[in-house]
Amino acid sequence: MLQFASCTKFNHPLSYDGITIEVDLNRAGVPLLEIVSEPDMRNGTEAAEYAAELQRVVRYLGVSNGNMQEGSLRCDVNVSIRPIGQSEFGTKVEIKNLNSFGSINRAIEFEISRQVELYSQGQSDLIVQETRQWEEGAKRTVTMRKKEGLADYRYFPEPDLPEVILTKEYIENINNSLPELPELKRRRYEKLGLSMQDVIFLANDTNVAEFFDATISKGAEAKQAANWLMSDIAAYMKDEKVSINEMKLTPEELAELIASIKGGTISGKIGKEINDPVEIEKMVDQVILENPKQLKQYRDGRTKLQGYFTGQVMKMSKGKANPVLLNKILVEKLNAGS
Amino acid sequence: MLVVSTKYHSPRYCTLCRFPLPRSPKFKRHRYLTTTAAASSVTTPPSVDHLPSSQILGLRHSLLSRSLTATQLAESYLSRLALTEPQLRSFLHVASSSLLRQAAHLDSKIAAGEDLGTLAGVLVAVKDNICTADMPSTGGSRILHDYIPPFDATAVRRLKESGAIVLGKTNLDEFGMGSTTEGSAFQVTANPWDLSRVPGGSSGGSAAAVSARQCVVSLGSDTGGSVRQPASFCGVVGVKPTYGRVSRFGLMAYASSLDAIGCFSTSVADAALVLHALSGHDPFDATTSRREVPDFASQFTSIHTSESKPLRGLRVGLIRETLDDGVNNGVKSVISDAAVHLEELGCTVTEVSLPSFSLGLPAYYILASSESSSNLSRYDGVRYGKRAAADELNALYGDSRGKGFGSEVKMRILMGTYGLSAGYYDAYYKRAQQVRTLIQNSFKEALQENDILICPATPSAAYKIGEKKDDPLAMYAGDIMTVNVNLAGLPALVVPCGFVEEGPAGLPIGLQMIGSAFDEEKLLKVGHIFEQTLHGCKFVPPLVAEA
Repeated sequence: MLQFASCTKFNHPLSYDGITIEVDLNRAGVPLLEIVSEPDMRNGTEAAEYAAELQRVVRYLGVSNGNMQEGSLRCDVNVSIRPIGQSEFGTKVEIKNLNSFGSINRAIEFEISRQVELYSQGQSDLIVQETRQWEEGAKRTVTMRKKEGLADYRYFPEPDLPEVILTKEYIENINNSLPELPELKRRRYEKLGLSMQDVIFLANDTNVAEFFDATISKGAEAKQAANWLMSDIAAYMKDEKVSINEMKLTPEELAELIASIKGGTISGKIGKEINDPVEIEKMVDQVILENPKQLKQYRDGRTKLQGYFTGQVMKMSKGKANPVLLNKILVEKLNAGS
Repeated sequence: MLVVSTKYHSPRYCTLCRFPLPRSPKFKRHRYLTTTAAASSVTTPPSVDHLPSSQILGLRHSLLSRSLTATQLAESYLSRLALTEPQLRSFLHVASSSLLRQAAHLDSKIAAGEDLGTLAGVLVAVKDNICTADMPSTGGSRILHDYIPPFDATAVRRLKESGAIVLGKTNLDEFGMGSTTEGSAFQVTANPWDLSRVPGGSSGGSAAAVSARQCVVSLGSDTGGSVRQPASFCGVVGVKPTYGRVSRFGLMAYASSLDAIGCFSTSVADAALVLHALSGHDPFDATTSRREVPDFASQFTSIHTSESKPLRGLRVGLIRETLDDGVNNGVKSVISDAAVHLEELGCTVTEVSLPSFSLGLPAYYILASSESSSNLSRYDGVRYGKRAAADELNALYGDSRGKGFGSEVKMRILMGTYGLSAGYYDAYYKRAQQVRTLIQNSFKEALQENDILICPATPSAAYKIGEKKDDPLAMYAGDIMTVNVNLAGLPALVVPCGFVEEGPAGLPIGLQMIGSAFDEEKLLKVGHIFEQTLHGCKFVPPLVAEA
């Protein structure tokens, strides 16, 4: 169902003469697409995963950033229970105010147990068609409003919206212009021999998937590329708080690195540079401490010995210390006492 | 479909206006482009010897030839308005000072030799359910008393862009719901032909204003006949364009799938000029068509003066169900004469039956009421409408609506709410939609066999004020001739065609011509020839002729 978003909230309780009414209309008129699923999900995890997949799809398609915290993607859930073997569904309860996949999962699990408890205590009549609100702090649902029957909305086709007739060609054009959707991408990665964990990680974010695809198109082995992306690169992005697109490393460089390691030019461990100044400083301090004779000579003017110290630290770090950072710290330390 | 060929006897006398018919072998034809309407035709009441001709082109000629200034023109209309308005009460708001200011501005443009729009200096009255940025727009409702919209309706904007000057806002039945203007929250408009009678409705103010020459042309809206019925009652030309031809943006929604903005004028030529300015796609109304808008009036000049049967070969279907028992005998006879007149112009007139015709009325009242129950929910004292003081929200809504709406509006909201409710939807709304499809199909079929269809615009001439006020069903029944056209979304033109002998000077009757979707051009062409050749009938009400 296509609709317009209306206002987001009332900053003051709605009142009249003399009292200012403030309504945030910033989203008014923004197109909004509502997708209603069939009652196909059996627990919170399934529902949360369904919502996550919809988020991936809208992100893949570029129709929305899909951020739940910003309200770009929102989800209301309907929960009903029925005894095993019964075909008709029980009374449906709607839950609103779900701001994350986690809360979708937890709210559904709570609601299921609330309804099951009422049912098993013979209080099924307390399960009524209503809208409940999820309270994240208290981890429970509470009644928001009792709902009237559907027909009381008195729906009829909106006459101000003309019929939209989509031609076969139009639909085909859209089909042909679709990017690879998450499901297809995952299937393709699976065929590359990647584990399900790798597949999900890579396909979850289009930018990561793009980086990965570019890397393997440069000849890198899929498993190796996935390993780098999932471990070292993921950790780096997290530490530095950068996205994959903001990172200096290019897919070409990653492919080259993987090829060098595979060819034995460098070892896998060498590939990883130590960039932590604290760690480097520690090694510098230790090397200086262990070489008092060389230190004295240096401070007496034999500055050429700097190379010796560099070599020692490199040896200690097994070649992984960032040389620029290392020399900067080293020079500071060597000159500190003079 | 049943098609019966009929023959008519040519009358020797015009029963319409009780004058002998001039039987010249060739009709005197009027080429409106060379009209020489002078200052006298507007500064004094229009000459009764005039054939219906374009007032718009007449006054343009006067302005360009400097025989009349826009200011003089405006003043002459304002003085006639001052004379007639106390009896007619057509207007809810008159913008005298802004009118004179705009006229003076136009005069300076003319003096500077600047290009003028096609409607330069044309004084337009606008039905008060059409939004105007600088004037109140009440919709005839107490709930919008003093409401001034922040924008012009697209129709109004387009007229202004063509140079027209909005003179004021006209009276109507509240939100367009009614057929007499008695449903206005503010006043009842009188019919210029007989002040004790209704002008029709809901666009009664706009029809009366044009009839009484209080303005040159006017805008109305037509959901179930609200332009065509008052046009017939007041003896003026009325156009209800195809659904989607004219933007509804800024028209207060009554029944969105049926509403259409139309216009009133004293000649078909003027209607064509105004409709041309109004028509076309509008991004603010998704139901407007992207079809090209033809220059409706261009067809008019192609009539050859030597041609004795200018409508030769035109197939005209007279809708049989519209001449049934419930129709006034005087009306039947006038319409039959009009059919004869069309035959004399070269048309082939046959009777055509639309079996679903009588179903239109109940289907219309269900659909229009249903849509209105949704559309009018915006008048809640918060989004729109005068807010009642109340202690809590539901009382605020209830009191605002209870005090703001009149009884007819409340009745239709109730009917519509009922028709859409659980358990009644299938029996009412859904069934009415099915009837609508039947009606659409039967019109489509009839318009394959015929170029145009004709029928009366109303089953009777204008009735007395108060006559049907307490009998809504009798008033609804009067819409039988017009509602089907809205259900089918087709264009229709009403042209005055004769009189019945009632009231002090006879009462005018309009002929309704219905065309295929988006073929206003054909209707206007036929209507133009029809009115040019309708000799002896002068549709100038006594109120103006005496003035």
